[in-house]
Amino acid sequence: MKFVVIGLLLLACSSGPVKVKVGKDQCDFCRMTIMEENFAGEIVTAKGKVYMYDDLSCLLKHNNQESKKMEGAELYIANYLNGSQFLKTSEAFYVKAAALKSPMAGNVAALAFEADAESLAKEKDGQLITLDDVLD
Amino acid sequence: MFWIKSILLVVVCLFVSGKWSTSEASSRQVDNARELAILLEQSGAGDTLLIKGYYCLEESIIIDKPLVLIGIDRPDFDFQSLSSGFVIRADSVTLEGLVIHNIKRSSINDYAAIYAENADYICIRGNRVYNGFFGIYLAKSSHSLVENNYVEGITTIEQSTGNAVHMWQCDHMVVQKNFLSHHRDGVYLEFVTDSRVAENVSRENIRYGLHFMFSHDDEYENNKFLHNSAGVAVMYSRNVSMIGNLFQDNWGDCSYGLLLKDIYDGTLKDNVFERNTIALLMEGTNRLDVRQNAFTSNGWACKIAANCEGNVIQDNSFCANSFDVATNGQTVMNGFDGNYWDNYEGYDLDGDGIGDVPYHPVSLFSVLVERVPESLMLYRSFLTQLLDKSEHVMPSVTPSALVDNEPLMNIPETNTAYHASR
Repeated sequence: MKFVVIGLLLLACSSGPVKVKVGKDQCDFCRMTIMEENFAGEIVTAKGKVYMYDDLSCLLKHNNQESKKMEGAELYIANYLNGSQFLKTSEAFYVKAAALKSPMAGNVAALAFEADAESLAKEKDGQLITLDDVLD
Repeated sequence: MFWIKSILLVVVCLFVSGKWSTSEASSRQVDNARELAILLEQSGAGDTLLIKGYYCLEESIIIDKPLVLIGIDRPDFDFQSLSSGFVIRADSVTLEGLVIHNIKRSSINDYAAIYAENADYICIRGNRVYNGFFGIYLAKSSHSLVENNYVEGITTIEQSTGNAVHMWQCDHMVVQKNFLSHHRDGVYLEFVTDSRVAENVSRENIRYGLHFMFSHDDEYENNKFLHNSAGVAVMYSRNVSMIGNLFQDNWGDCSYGLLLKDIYDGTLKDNVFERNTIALLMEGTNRLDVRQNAFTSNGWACKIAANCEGNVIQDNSFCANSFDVATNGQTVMNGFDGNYWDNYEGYDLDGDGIGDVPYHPVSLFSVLVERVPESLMLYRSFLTQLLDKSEHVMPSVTPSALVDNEPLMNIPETNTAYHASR
């Protein structure tokens, strides 16, 4: 019994990205309902609060706007090729292409591997960019 | 063998050139897939194909010249979830009276029952689309018409549903008298200007009934948006006029009748908002004229964020709403004078139809709920009524500038939306 209680407590404490409920959860910046898992992003604050976004551009804008609240937060972005997997924004590779047509017209896809990013850029006629270039 | 081929070639050449020289558009009937493929190949610009029968296909039908395709007795096209439907790559194409089933689904590509890109003067009229991933998809098109179509999707596999009518980078489009249901958005417009969306019925879509993104100088009139899971959203757009629409039964945690986000200069007039969780949600909305609308039986009639400026809210009726107005700050830069509020308890001694006591539509409890949503549990309890009354006598928490100085005693005759909805 004791272990079960401790286990539950530990479960409750785990912090990290949570699964997005597609068609239910709302973007915390633009308020749109999140419909495309493979463009979704999340910010998990130092206190463990999870903010959700439908597009990388919303995530970054909100992060800039609320820089105080977001201090020490972890930023995650969905893997474009596998929407249920979250990548740390600092570790992902980015492709910008108009043909991606992301929810907020940010049109940036995040990928886990450089090779994937290169082939996607080729396929969608886009270019590889870094995180700093996303909002430009 | 060679001479047979050459004669055949000469005959074909004569046939084709004869057609071109007379430059008369012909009309041909077709009732099977093989014949259709041949005719699409052979026909010249402006020809009409009259289509009958049932078509079971594995590939999309590509139309790359100006043709008119008219269905006789509802010909049926089943694409077996293997490809897109009709792909239009030429100007002045008309598709009429076709029934299209089962389009391929994908999370990467936008397959559609009717897809047109870089094509102007397209007319899509009187078609039926069932289980199209996207229904009717127009990209980089102008001066086109989408009319009288019936588009019904399947929403059991939620994330893999597209929009019923999707337009991207278009201008001068008309979308009217369509029935759109069970898709992601009923009508989705992104970078679409100078266009009109009228008299459509959009219901039970899993996101919005209508969705504007970065679309300026458009109008939508006399549409019905019913039972959509999040309502209607107009975002990042200028000069959108919204007249005579019905927003009904958009219930849910984050549902609203109409969401306005980052909107400049527009009109919201003669609309009816009935039974929505939040009827009208305004964020970053500026210089909008909100007139003669009827807000009836909503959770919140109007939530207006403190970053909205220069909006005029006048001649509206607010009846049987749990909360009339809610806001998230103290600053108020919008006019609320001259509305009818059924919660108004003032009097009119001089009988001019305007209440003599100003009305504060934001109750203390609504401010409380805005800060601590859980306190909604205490709604209609004795305690909150007491608080509301005391706040009424001595305002301290509610924004004092959010006030109707000329509350109407009766619903104005000009509010035809209200009178018509009774």
